[in-house]
Amino acid sequence: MTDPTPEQPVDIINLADVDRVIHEPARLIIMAYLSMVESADFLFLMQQTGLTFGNLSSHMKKLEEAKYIEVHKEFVDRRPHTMLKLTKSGRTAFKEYKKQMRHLFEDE
Amino acid sequence: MNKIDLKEIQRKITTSYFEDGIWDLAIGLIFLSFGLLLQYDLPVFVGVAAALIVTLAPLLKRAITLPRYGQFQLLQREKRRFSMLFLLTSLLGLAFFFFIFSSLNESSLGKMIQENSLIFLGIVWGAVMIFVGYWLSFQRLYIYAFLIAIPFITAEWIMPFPIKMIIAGGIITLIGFAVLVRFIQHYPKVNLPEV
Repeated sequence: MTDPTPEQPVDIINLADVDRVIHEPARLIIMAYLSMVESADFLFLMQQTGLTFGNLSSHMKKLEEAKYIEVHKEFVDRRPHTMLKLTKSGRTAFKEYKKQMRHLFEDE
Repeated sequence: MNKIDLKEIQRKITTSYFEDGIWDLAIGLIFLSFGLLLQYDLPVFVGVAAALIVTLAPLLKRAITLPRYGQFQLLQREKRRFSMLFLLTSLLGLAFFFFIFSSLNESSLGKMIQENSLIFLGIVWGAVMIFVGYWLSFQRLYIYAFLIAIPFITAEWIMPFPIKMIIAGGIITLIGFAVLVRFIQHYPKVNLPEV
């Protein structure tokens, strides 16, 4: 984080610190569900979050690129089966995000 | 964006485990076979039911639930919580049986419980099922607690105890079957392409 300058009020700097990978609503809900389980498969997340296949798939890729989730692909009964799991850094990032959000909206 | 309630998400995930009715079927079959065992004095019913539950429940989960609803693994802390719950209820049950059948217990309360053991067994069974239902957010278990407690509490009143147990187990099995049918209708099979 950069030091505040006269042009950058502290609040803006705090907001700029918010993890934008998690901040996107669809990704936030995916992270919230994954934080509550050890791992879940693609279909379970689709059913629970109400996201479409394409949507979930693209957000999953972004979370995987950020190394927030691990994706395991396998074949079960000759069908593709994808398991998703929060990484340690993903779990930490989600905790940090929750803390930041609480802090941002805290009443003085 | 609506508020994200992590407790609600946790509850939704836990209840999703019982949405397919397979646990209801298992519970119903246990009590149905217990009633049949008592009525016809055929221990084979318990064996058949145990075999069915042990083999059929995971098979049904794999064949019906997984391709429609997907699967998840509980967090380690949740697994520990459920293990503790299982251990606690088992210990409570054992303690109660020991209390009823122990000749050591000669107090007036002990005698009263021994004389009305079926009623107390019904109350304990019902209470345990309500407790487990509350713990697991499995609300149908409240109804099952009531259905199972009735045969114990009413004992031989109106009709024999085993018949009442068969009826209670049968009703639970039917509810389980109805929940399973509703689940299948509500969640059609999904064939996902490779992600």
